[in-house]
Amino acid sequence: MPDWAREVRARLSSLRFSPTREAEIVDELSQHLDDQYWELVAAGSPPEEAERLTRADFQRRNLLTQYMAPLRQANAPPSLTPGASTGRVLIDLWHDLRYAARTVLKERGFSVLAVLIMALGIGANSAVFSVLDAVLLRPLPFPNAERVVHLSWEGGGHLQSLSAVKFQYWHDHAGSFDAMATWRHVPGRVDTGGEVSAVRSLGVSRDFLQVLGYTTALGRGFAAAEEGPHDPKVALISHEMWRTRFGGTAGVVGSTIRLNDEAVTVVGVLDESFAFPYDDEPADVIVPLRATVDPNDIAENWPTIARLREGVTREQAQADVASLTEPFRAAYPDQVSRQARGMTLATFSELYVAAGVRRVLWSLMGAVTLVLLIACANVANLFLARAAQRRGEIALRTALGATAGRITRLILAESVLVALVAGALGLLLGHWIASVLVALTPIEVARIADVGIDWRVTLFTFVVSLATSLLFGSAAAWPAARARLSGVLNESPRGSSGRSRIRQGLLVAQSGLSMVLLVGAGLLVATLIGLTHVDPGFDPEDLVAVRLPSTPARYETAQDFWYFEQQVVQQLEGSPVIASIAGASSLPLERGINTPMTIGGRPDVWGTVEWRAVTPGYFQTLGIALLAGRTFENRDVTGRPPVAIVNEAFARQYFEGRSPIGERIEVGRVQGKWTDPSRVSPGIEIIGIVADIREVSLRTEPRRTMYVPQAQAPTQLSNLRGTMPVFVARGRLAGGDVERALTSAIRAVDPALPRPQVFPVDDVVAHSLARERFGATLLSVLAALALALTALGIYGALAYTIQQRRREIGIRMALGASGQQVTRLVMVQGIAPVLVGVLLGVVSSVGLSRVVASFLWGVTATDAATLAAVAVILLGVALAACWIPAREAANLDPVNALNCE
Amino acid sequence: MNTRALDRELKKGSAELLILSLLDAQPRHGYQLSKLIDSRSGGQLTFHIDSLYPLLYRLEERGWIKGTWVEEPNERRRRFYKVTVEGRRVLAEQRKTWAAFVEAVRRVTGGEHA
Repeated sequence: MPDWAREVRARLSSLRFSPTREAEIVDELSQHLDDQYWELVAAGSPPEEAERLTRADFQRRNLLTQYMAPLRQANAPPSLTPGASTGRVLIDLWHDLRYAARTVLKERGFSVLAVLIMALGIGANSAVFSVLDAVLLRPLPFPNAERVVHLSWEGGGHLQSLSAVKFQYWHDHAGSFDAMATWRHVPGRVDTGGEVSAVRSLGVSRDFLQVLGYTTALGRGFAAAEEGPHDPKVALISHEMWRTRFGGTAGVVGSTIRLNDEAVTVVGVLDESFAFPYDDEPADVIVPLRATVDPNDIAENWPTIARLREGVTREQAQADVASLTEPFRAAYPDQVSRQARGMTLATFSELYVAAGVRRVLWSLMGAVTLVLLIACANVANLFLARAAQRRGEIALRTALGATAGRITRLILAESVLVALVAGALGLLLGHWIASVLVALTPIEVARIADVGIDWRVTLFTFVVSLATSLLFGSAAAWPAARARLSGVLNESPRGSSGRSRIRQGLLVAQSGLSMVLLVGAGLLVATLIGLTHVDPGFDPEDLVAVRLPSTPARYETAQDFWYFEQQVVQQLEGSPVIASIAGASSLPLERGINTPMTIGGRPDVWGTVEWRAVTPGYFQTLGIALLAGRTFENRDVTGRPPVAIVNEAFARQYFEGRSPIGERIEVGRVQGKWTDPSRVSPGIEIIGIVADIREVSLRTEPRRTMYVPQAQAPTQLSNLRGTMPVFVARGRLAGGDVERALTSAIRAVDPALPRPQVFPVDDVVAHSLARERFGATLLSVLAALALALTALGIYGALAYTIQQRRREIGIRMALGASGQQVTRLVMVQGIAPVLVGVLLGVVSSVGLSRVVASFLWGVTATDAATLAAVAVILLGVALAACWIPAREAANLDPVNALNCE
Repeated sequence: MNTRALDRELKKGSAELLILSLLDAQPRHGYQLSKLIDSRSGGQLTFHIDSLYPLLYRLEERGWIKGTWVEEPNERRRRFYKVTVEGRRVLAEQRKTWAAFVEAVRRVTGGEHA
């Protein structure tokens, strides 16, 4: 029978049918030609004639190719021949990704493990970056924030706010700005229809709103006629306050509210976008500052912001403000110290985010990067192991034409896919981790409430995912590509030495990085433990503190405070529950007041000391020993000679072994200049010395401190922070209701006061270590994570190696090696890279000691005990990780092992 | 009359209609179709192998007909085509269109009645 297939096929060869389809068509058309042939034969034609006729008819038109060409099936894309490149980069890339996706989905267990490990590492990084971004990197949240600058005085090595005179001078002379303003926190207590509450309130200078670019949603800003000290009292309220306390009605403009017990007219409502101060909760109420400039006032508490004039660059403004320093120095020589560098423009993060916080954030970023690298090493090992198992497939591809580059690209496509999925997961995980971090952060950090996922965090996460995928992908791809064909098909399952070297190297890296993190965590823990054993200098047991949440306007002068404290103390005289009670301007270990002072009669002996106003029972209540002289008594009141008690540190510093009793202190005066004329109280006599306590923090050595009786304290110092005095009380019996006694006593003295907060002083001590505790916990968590990942890596690598070397182990056992010897062999192999890693980790820790040193207390960064303890932990965990595979190896059946291949 | 010219012109406009209506009656394979068309049209319409199968494949790609391999005992496997639901719908439309066209032509060219 004639064969039509060849001819039909020839007509179809130029078309792109898939092989299966082409075969079908050839079949079908051949059948048709057969039918034609047989019909002719049946009609009587001889077979040769029938064949000739049929063939002639088929060849007559020769339009088959032309008519078939438009069909979709004639234009099928070329089949995916593994290893063959189409020559077009994007198409190849798409093929690679498709194939990678298939592979990843096929080996689900492996992929899920890789994704989870990477998601952990990426998530941690994303979390820390989002905090870093919110606190340090993001631009300020008001209109055209880049046109707003801070003016800062660079004096004696750090940036300070301006003094009154400096503000006035630069305000009047600097030409680069449209507006310049300053502000101050002022007490705020609003009384609306009987409901009294504290509000966040700012006093602002003229042009404040103009500098920041905020407008009023209702009403207007302040007029020039409202900013003098005797002008009518006006205020602006925030959008939030308008909504919640005034029902969002337009009638609020022009209405009167009671602010600090005064009638104040609301002239406007701030725009909803108002968010100042930006390092804290936004203010609810803004009032004119009404401050006057006194040339004798050298206090630097005028933070200054300014808006750049249109067309002026930051650099030009910087030059402008700096150039005024010398003329200022000539005009006001007393205002400029010798080492002062002059006026400069500063950024937000330089001013409002303490250097310590910045250091912590960047160190944290470094720590999570280490964790990420460890995770990468783990996943790289996983990919390496899998690449070894795919030796056959890679060889096949190579035989079909794949270059080393193509193989590398294929493996990288898989790693990129895994990393991108992990990145998406990590972004969500990071968001959760970040919110936990923010919730637990013990200190006030500017803008930390703004932490969230924005485009920058997403971009960062994406870039990190991509980078890590290339990192661990290439670690696996490189040996795979290199060992493409070379003896692969004959190769014993032991694997190339290149692969095994990389694997060992990754384990060394993991161990080393874990070691660094563990050392860091260990040192922070040691610091924390050391600090918890520091003697604060007073006895916090059974000691309770009382704090009032706001300061009513009627408590204005120091005498008001004194009167209040005296009455409360009298209320509790003879109380069965309270053994002793005293008032103070602040609690130990919390922020207090400090002031410059000069020793009487020695104008060259001066300095800044901690200043506390206390009632007579203070030292007794706190358990502070009186070392010489006498303590305060009820006769030390206004009108009587002003007295003070100093601590040992003060006496040591200024009197070097002589007794300071009888000597005098001039507070508020330094080198002939007053920092605030109303704070001046010259000639305070020292009547006693008390033991040092840690006034500022447990880490800091006791500062030079002076105590004055509340009755004699000057109002401007006493009311400096705008807070009511606190009380400390020692309970008489354990279990007596101290809180109720204190609360009722205060209520009895002044029922209009808001409810006081009562808490144990132990809380204050613990809270003062909150930062250290937080840091130690955080780093310990990271170190534990790193340790777990490393252990996983060691176990995985060792288990894989044993599987590859089953035959060898079988031979050894057949030759007489005992289970113990095999165990030892495996353990040694597993531990060796860890030992090297530990060594490298120790060296790196020593190298990084400078970074950590600022966080430590009581230990050095190279503390041998910590290093040794941490090394032991790491080696212990590593040994445990090696143990299971080692036992498995020891329990191998030699016969089976020898037979396996 | 030039059969070949008629052949070509009419075939162009009606090829699909022919195939669909023949397959509507019953499933057929390619050779059967070509024989049927030839015999029923009295030789006026013929489909060469070069044009028949591309047409069938085009109709199959559109989803109007579906081809299935059928294996009879002692026989080579053949591809039988049948009309799909969608094909039946198209066929009805095309029949209507064709009938309307024929009617219109007839009315225009039909003899004047006295």
